Amino acid sequence: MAAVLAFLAPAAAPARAQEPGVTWDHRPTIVLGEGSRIDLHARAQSDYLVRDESDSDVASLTFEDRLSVARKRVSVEGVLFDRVSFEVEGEVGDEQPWRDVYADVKVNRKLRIRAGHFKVPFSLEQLTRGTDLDFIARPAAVSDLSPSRDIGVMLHGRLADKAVKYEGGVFEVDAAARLWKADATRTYAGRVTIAPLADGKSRGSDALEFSAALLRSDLPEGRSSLNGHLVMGDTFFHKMFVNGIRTRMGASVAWNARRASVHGEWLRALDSRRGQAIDGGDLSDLVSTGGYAAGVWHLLARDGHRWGHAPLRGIDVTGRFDRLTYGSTATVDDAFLNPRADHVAPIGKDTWTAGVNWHVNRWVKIQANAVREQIVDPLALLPLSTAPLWSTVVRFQVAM
Amino acid sequence: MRMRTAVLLLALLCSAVTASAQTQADLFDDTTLHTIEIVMHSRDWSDLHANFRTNDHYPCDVIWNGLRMRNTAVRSRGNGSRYQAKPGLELTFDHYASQQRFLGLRSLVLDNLVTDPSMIRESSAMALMRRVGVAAPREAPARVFVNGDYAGLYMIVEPVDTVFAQKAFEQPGLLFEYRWTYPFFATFPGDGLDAYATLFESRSLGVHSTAELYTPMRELFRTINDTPQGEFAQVDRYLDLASVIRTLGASTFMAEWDGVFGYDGMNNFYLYRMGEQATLIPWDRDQAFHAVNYPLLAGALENVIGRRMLQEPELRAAYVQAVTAAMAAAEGDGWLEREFTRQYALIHDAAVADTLKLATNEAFEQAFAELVAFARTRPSFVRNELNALR
Repeated sequence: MAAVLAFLAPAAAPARAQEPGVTWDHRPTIVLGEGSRIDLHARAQSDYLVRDESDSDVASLTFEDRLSVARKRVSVEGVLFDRVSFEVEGEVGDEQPWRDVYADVKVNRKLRIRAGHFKVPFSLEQLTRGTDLDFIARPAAVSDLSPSRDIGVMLHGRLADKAVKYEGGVFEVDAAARLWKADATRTYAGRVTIAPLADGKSRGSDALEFSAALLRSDLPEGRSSLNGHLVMGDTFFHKMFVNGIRTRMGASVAWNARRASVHGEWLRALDSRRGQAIDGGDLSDLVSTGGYAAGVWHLLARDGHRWGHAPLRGIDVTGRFDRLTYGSTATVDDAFLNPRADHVAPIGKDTWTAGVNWHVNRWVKIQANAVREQIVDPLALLPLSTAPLWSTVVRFQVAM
Repeated sequence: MRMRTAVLLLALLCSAVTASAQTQADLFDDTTLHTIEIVMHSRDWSDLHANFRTNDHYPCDVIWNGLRMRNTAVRSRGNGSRYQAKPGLELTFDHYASQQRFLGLRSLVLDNLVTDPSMIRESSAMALMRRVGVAAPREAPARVFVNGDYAGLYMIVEPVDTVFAQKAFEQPGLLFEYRWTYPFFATFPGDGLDAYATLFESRSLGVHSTAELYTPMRELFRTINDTPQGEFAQVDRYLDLASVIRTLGASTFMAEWDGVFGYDGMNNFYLYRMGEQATLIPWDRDQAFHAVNYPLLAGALENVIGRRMLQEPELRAAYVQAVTAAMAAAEGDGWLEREFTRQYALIHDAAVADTLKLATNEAFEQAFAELVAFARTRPSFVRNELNALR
């Protein structure tokens, strides 16, 4: 129904500024008065599995088996008195429905305070909204190494004539299960973005951005290290026993031009493993490293597109390479893959993704991605084939 | 100083030679009470006990006869034998490294022996199976220590996996473990392959489609059920009848009531398929030697394979011959009674010292006495029943 509405919807009438009432500008908006409004959003994504070489029974799947719903979200975003912005977003039908639920208070241009449940500032790709991604799936390095949302408080703002953007906060890890409990664990996060090019009067253009991020999290004892997945969800690197501190660091660069954009990230996580050897001794740190480089060519760009926003576009051709590896700081002695190995055998995955995005109109996007994954297992320890695995998925998205 | 170094080097060399000389035959030498030491994180051992109903794997080192096998996985195992105080264990050597082997083995079962007060039923049953030419797992008793603490008397059991099956039948094939899910008596489960996947869990390595695994299985059971009267031998195309009858004959003599002709449907076997033809591999014989006067055809007539086999004169004769051969193997030279007595003597002290076992020491002694009585009197009962069957 949402898809039909999106196709049939008339051209949007621009909202009349600041007159109380309900308007339609891409989406329903309730204008409460000067500097206060509420926007209603709905987003739905459905995927059709064309090909999956990791599943030997895929040929026998029916049309319904191949179809899945990736997201069906509704949200309310708004601004009150030009000073407090907020968002409440939920996944319809999910056992844990809440996604972004926060309020953001603007103290001044240089300082804002956000509190609630929202994304931890770390990865550029993870911070990009799911409906604005250039690919159907985030790169493995991001989906497997980057934190998503937690409950926390964050200070953020822009300095130096908007050339520097900063975000820093503290979050409760896995807050839904632990908040207010004695075993609560925390993440301290900081991210700085430098945008050296000018955009109109001031600097801070998103045409070129460099970012660096650092996270430090408490890591309770347990089998809870980061693990690695194939794009279809199978696990190729299983969780290890950890205890102590998880340190994540990341860097990214994004260049956005009218007809093309390029961006990339490098991410690393170090997990300490105190007292986790089979004899109770300490193990070396577990090292998880990943990164990607992605490019988008706007074949039919119709406006001054900037990556990360949601402009009107026509057709994009996309390509990406990403790599994810696991290992340890110990490199002597025999390399093993058991969850208490001191020298963790190097295991990784290289992924190439090629795709096309068709922006049918401002609400409807159709994406097709062909993915070639190859597990890297130089010591031949995994019970998995290291031959390339191909998968192809088509996504139909409606967002307003 | 130089002398001491030379002695040390010589000792290391001898140790290495000793270690490298170990074989599977040494590991499954059932004339020895073995010692197995497991070194694992104390929290994992606690978790394994707490979660003894799950199949979660935990890393460990295993030490046997001076050999230390690192990077091994241990998990709780069993169906009816899952027991928190003394969990059955499976040691898997290729869980964390697909090519890793211990003396050529991918894994090893440590049977906790809690379902059998005598603690020697299964090992004796498997020994008799092998004696009559059935490919059956080897077993040997072992005292197991975990982090230095005595964890009880276990039986080392050779696992039925693709390594075992290929060695036994000298051919590559596909291996399936029968999973008891409902009382199944070899009736036709239907055209849908999911029904077969539920009953027969694939134990083969590599990726196989459902159709590759279970289409021949469907044909096997279709043939078992649909072959016209008098032509049951056609089943031999899909099931090696000679081999299966040899296994069933031995089970019948041993009064096995929880096997292929089990009291509650088929149970406790593997199926190994080479090309089109499959054969059975016995497993878990802790209910063998159930009772001296356990009827020969108990369970057989309810099962389609047993019923149709007994209706064909040639197959019926082969079945009688198989039971007779097993009886002769048990009876000759008093082999079965001697085997019971030998194994009892070997494990006695370790069994009595095992405070984690389910049975009392009195029950252990009583169960042994019943086995001896079985060895002495079962043949005459079977002989009478066979006369009626001929």
